[in-house]
Amino acid sequence: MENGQLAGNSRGLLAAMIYDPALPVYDASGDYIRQAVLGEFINNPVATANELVERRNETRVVGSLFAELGITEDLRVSNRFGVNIWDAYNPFYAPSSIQQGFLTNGSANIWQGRSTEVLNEALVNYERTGVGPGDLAVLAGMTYQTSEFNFTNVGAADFLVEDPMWNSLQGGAQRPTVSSGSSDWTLISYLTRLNYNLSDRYLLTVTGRYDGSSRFGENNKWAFFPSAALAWRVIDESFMEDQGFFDDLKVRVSYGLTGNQAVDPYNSLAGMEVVESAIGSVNTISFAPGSRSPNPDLKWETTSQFNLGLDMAFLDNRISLSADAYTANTEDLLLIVNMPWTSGFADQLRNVGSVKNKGVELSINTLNMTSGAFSWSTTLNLAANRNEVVAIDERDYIETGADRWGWAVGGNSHLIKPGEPLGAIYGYKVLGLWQEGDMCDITDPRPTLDCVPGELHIQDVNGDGRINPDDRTIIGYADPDFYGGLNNSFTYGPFTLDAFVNFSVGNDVVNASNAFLMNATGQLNERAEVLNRWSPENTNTDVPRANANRRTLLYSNLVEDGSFLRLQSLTLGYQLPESILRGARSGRVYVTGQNLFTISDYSGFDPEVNSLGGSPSARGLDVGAYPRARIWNFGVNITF
Amino acid sequence: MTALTKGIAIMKIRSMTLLLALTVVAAAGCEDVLVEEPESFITSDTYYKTPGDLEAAAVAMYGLFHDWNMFKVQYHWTFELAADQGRFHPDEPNVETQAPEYLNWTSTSRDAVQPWKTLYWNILRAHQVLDNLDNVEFPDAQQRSRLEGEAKFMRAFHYFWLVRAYGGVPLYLSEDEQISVDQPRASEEEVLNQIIADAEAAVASLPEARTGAELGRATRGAALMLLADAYRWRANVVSMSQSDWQAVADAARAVINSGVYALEADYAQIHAPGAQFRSEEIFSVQSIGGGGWFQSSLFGSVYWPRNLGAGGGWAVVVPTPEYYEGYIDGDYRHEATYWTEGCPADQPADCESPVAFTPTDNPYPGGYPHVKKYIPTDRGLNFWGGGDVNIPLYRFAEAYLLLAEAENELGNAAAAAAAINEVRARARQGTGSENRAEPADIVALDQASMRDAIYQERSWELSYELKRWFDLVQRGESYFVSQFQANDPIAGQLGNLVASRMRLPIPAEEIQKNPALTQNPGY
Repeated sequence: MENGQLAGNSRGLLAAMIYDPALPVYDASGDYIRQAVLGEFINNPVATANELVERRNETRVVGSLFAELGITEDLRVSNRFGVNIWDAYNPFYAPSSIQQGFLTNGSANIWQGRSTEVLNEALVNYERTGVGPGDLAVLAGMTYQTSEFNFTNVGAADFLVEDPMWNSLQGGAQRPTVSSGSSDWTLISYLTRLNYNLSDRYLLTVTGRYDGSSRFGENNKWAFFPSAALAWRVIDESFMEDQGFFDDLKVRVSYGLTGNQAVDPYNSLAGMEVVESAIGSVNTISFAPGSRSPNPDLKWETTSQFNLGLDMAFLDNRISLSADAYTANTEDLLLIVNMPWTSGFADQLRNVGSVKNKGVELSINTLNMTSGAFSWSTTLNLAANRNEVVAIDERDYIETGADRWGWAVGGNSHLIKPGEPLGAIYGYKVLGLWQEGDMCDITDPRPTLDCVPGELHIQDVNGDGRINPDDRTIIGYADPDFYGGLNNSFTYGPFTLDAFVNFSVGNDVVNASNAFLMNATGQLNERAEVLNRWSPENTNTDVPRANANRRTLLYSNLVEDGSFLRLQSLTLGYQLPESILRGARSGRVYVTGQNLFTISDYSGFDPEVNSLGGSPSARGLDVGAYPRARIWNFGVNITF
Repeated sequence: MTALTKGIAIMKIRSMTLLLALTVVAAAGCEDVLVEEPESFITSDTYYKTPGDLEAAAVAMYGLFHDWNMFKVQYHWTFELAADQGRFHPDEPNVETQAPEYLNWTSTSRDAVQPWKTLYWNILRAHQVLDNLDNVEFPDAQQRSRLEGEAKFMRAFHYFWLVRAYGGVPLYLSEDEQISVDQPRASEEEVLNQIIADAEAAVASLPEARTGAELGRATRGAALMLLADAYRWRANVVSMSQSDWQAVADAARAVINSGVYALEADYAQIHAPGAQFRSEEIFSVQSIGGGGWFQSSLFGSVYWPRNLGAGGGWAVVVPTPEYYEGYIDGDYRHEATYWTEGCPADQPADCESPVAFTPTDNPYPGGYPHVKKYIPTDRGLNFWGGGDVNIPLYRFAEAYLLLAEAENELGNAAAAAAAINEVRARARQGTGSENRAEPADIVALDQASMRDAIYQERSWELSYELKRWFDLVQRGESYFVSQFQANDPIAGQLGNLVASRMRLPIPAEEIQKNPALTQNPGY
């Protein structure tokens, strides 16, 4: 009931899973049964799937203009001007035959948005061989990037005739939705790059950029980001001339600063929102501070990264290998942080602290076999990253995650805490089930829950003798131990076969759907495994006894190993013979299958999900997330 | 030179010009270009310039009343289910929704989090008015003092909700303090003293009545009711002082003698839909329906039968059998408050075959009762925008009951009886001109019995109006526990019927964000 989110959001899989399975789709007169009303109000998922219309029409137009002028032989100036226009028209209709449109007698909505991004890049290039003992290339320039976004959202309801759906909004007696908005941002960069090539053996690159972003506070818009890189082509040294083992050997080292400004605009301004109220017996408009507190000191997030790399090739280049190790320290991490609610604000975008990443990346290419028309090659990529929050300002830790997205699990789902990875999963640690005869160490047990046989035995983390929200602790990590991909390519005459497998090992996923489906509370349809729930006769089980008093919280038994291996794509191609290609240079037909199979012990649909969007601080949560589709592509490529 | 290469050369020269032009323009203007100038919203540092801007800021304080998590829905969910008059409908399965029934909230429950969040949120809006008064030139000094009084009333009103729900809370008195300081909790008395000071300032400057475009905004009567209510709380919980009871009596009497208000002839019409500020309403959340979220009330859905067919209706709160049965036989307020069957919204209100409310297997004699005080004009057809029943906060009958309680505490039994009997006399009028025997006038009771009678009268008269929980809390533990045992014994089923549950826990996340805060005992 209070799961307004759950019921209101019942478009997806979760509704289909929790809907009363005994209810037919239609009633005796052939109309949809709109809602399961006994217990939670869940909308009929079949009706939703069949009748709710929601379309996304998006158009993207990309254009660019490039001009270059040689001033002298060494000096060139160029300008690139690019435009990127995105246009969306997203109509929606919920007919009166289903719950979503029943209350309003049909509900239509159109969301239209457009963003226009302009980029101008003006560069000066100077290249000269024989400057001192080596060759020099210098680049300097300025880029100017600006974007404007605006949207219009209109809706109507209460339709006498429903056939036109959103195409005749004036046919709706009520016009509940009218809104519009706009936002823009600008990024200006002055940049320079110097390459110095000493005898083709020592390659030095030094860069510097001075970036100004509109998104930051008045006094913090500009920041300078330098970098330097040195590559040593060992293979070209004289002492390598006599060896025959290596075909390539190169060592790379680099250090540099980069900035991050990928945040919404206007976070430094004290924006006000429109408030509606019924004062004076009419809809009265006024203004009040928005829910995000302004941060006039907002500044760039900066990462300093040190990278050491090694490139090798041997056996006639049949095996090549590239390895990198890095450490990256991010300072002034940009993060939306919950404000104390006593402030009257919900949250604030802040530069909260520092995070350290270190990792290794390995890429191996092998040509396994070439025999006449047949060849087989393999590419393996492996990566491992370790992430740690070094420090955060003011607080011991920051809670984030589920509550921020309005999904109640009795508090937040993720934690940002020094010494831990960014976005550790945070909840109640379940030690098992209470069994008859267990010693009860909870001095103030919650009735029907603590120390009751068949109930979840939750760890009293702070040892105060009672289970409450202060006992929440870290119960998982969404980061994998390592991950990567393996590609095999086979060629036989005109045929090619490419198989790409990706994998991830050791990442935790919260199967939060099971908070509803495995909690044995009897509120909703649950998984068949709940039949194996604890009872005095069936004590050897993980599923707790039936108990309507158990809250839907983030228990550690929802955390699963999300390791997986997926056949991400398989492509079979055929090079068309020249004889049938009149006037074309080459042609190819192919068929690609994506997401063909997944090996995983994860009990949900897809271990590679993220219900909370892409935020790095709140990963690995699956709340009825829609699994990725299996896609088949057929294609023809012809080059003229 | 061929035509083609010539063309390219010309293009190069033109591009060069373009390039230089763009670079120069961009470089020259770059400082300005990075200054954000939003087109779709205004900013608060430049907004408040005229008295009209501050009038709008004052109106914005009322907008939040229609927030789901405030009066629109959540407070009725939390505080009426918690109180001993209401119980969740047996078809409501969710333990989180049921939680207030068992006083089974935790420091992360929305019952504990949402009041805290919404009340401080609106205190910020009050500070937007107060903090900007000096930045605006007021040709009309009275307008300034009216606005100041209104914002102080609203600040006090919200702190009063906070202090009653949580006990002592951090007391912030400006926007700057709210944003930049992490205060510890002030004592309950300190918060009450501030509430009383603000309410007194409001009494001195607010108008007697609001009409036209100001209808629904705070009046002197609203400030007097708040003042009486706050003195009453201080007298009951903190001071036990006769002078506080005298202040309750004075404020209540000022409302009664103002001549602005009158008791509605028919109890059933007090919460009639569509009517905006009838004679008995002193302070309400104005709700005009008409499809708009922020103009319509939804709290009726908390009581609306689940099976009436139309609209929403969750019947989260139904009366407890013990309380339902406890009314005096023949008290009109019983029939005006409950119904056991009704007509679907798409049929006439007096349809031939009304629907009996579920579940039919029920512990009540007769049908299964639901609360019918808050039925909108469209009878639930569009709960999500049609709710045109004002959400009651203070109404005139309560002024008599406040006066009765104060006079009784001051030892004036006769005056107390006279005040409470005003309310009982109205109930005897039934639909307006009846002459019922019950509830008969109360005569000559000793102080303790009169106190019980007044609390009992409040529970009948002001049922499901967000009053009962706070009556139980302020009268203290033994009354709190005894009333639950009498009216709502299942509330004790989970072992939570203890004094510590009389206050909500401070939200856990809030203590984490402000370590100066301490948790209430028992959580």
